[in-house]
Amino acid sequence: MSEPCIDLSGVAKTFRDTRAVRDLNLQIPSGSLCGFLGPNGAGKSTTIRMIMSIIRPDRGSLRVLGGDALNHKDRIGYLPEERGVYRKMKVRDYLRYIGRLKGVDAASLRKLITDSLERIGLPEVEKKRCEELSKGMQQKVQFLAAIIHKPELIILDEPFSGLDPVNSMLLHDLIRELHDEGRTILFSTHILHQAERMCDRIVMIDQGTKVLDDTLETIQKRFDPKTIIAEPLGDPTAMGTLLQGAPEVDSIKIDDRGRVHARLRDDADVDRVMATALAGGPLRSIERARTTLDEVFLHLVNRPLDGAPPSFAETTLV
Amino acid sequence: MSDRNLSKIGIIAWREFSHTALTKTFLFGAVILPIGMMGLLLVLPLLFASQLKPLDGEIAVVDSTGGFVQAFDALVVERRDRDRSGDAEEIIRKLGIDDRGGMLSGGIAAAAKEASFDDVTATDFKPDGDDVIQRLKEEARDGQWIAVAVIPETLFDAENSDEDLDDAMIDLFLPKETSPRHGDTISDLIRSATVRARFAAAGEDFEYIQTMLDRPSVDVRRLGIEAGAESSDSKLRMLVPFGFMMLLWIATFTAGNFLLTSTIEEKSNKVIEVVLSAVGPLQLLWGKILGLALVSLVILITYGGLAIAGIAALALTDLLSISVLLWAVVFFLIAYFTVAALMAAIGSAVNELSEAQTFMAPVMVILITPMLLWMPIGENPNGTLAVVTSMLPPILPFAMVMRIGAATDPVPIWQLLLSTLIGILSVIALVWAASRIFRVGILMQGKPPSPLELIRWIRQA
Repeated sequence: MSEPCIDLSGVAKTFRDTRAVRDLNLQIPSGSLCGFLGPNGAGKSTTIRMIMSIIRPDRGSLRVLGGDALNHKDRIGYLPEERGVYRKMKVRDYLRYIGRLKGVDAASLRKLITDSLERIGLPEVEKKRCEELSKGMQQKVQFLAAIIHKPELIILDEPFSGLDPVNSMLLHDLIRELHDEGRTILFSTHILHQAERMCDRIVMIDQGTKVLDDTLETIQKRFDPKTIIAEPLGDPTAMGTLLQGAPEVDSIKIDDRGRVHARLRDDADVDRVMATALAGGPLRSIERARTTLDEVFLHLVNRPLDGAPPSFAETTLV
Repeated sequence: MSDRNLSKIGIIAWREFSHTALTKTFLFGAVILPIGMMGLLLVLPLLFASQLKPLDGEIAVVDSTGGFVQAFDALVVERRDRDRSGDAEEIIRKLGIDDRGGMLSGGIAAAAKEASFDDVTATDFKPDGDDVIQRLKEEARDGQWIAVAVIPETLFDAENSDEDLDDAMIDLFLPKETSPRHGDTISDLIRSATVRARFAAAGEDFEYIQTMLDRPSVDVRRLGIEAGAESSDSKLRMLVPFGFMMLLWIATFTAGNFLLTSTIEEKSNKVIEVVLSAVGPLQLLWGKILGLALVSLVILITYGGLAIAGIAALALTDLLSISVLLWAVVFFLIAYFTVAALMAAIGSAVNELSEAQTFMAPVMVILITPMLLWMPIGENPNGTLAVVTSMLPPILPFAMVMRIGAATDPVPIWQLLLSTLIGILSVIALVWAASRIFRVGILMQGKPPSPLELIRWIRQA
């Protein structure tokens, strides 16, 4: 197995009385698109800053691209959460400055900047001062600055915050493109469904501690609620009684909207239960319940949603 | 440090330099404006002189003795000759300026020629009641006379007491359009001619007495260390140490201020983390320090160049030597890195310029001390006060440039070397401490740290 792109072992960081990161172990494989999730103040940005060698951990070891990030800064693209631009600088000069710092030769930068600005839908801003751009435009320029040197590893701290849906979609596509080119991408967000749409791997932390680290597929399997939701056109109680009789069904619950939630046993044949429900009368809908990352996260950190708490087959912390 | 890291420092340094010095504001404010002002200082006196109209015309003098007009004409001839040559040279010489080419005195004399009087004469009238005076005043109104002076007879009587002389006043009538300057000149001529006439009335030779009372000039020469090496004394000599120190101050503090504001701007713009993703904090710090060192150098060259050009134009080059200039460069570097380290540390520790004032105040109080010591150090550049302050970081470069600028007594070489050594060691310590503060402070937001916290950062970073 190849060496992980990012390898953290027992990393901890404390600011005065606040333990921002606690004994964090984390391995991000090369080529993955990993979502680094957690609520505000979970320690995501501190971890990312340590990965970038911007701040030093109090203890633990940290390897990025096989060594210290300080020695590989030109191979890493970074979009910090607290990001800004030189307000008086022209966009072209700003990108050229960051590009030069990231090791791109001056000769190729001119074309690279023009092409890149075109790609993100800002072909006309090259000669404008950064302060003349809207916040969303500035954010796209900042993203461009993070990837202008075509890095192997891209770390994005809350890349979608402050973007409208159109620009969010554009950024989403750009990140997917970069991933398809074989780059490793780690991005943090507290908007979990965003990560769910994009990532092949999820790491969740809360209060500086890792609570989940797995592929999205495994997480979905692991936190499968094993529940079928049927919405009958007729009496939901009759449907509930019918499904309760099936040997695969463990329990039944009817919600306020008249939908019947049939919780299945671990070894249940889902198709058979669905066939039973369909045979019980006309249905408006029938579906297999899916768990969102929000529900997984809230479950893992013991903060259930108001109303019906999701129930998972497996609840072991990682 | 690898070539790549050095190259990044160079890229940062160039950005700092180009975004500070290659701007219209800087070029105008720090380069064009001082050069323009210096040019104006040279040109304005000539412009003013060319604006002045020479005094020309006849003065009607009502004098019963008849001796005034002769004294007046003699005075006018003497003043005209003096203003056209001798006086200008005397002024230049007293200032200690070696105007061997005669450029300055020639210029002043030329201006004086334009500015003084051309053909001023006096015409005598006997006092014959008020009618004569009234008539002359009417004629003055009509432009026939440039002034009418009524000289009381008592002024020429040597037998009169002091009180009588004090009570006697000359009446001087001037046309309305007479300029204040011409009025003063006529008044002065009348008064001086009265003194002359009084001497003549007493039977004394005024010119003889004036020659006897004339104090001779003294040509002060400073003896050099080597036999035969002499230089002219100069009142400007006292200004040179102050000029050296001010030059150092302007160059280092202007660039230091740019360093402070650019660091605070990067923090408040939140662009700092983007930059730190590409370079380490020490590379950023050194890039900024070196880039603004170039800015400081531009200021030094501009102002220093103007000062040297002025000194060369006044033929005072003996006040400066190559070795003095080289030592000045050494202490400029020490001063710049001292100020830059302090400013970088302060800039990284705060979030806004207003917060920086808390830290700036004590720094300024310390660094302004040499300015207060200009007179004692300039007067006695090898005295105890001068020696001690020139060995005391962080003020040593400012004190030492004043000592080497004073040039009355060369600073012993061991003191120069010791001061340089102490300066370099203090710069190393300051830059080290500044880099520790910079590393922590640059990413710190919120309440600015206390001085104690800064010390903890230095120890912890």
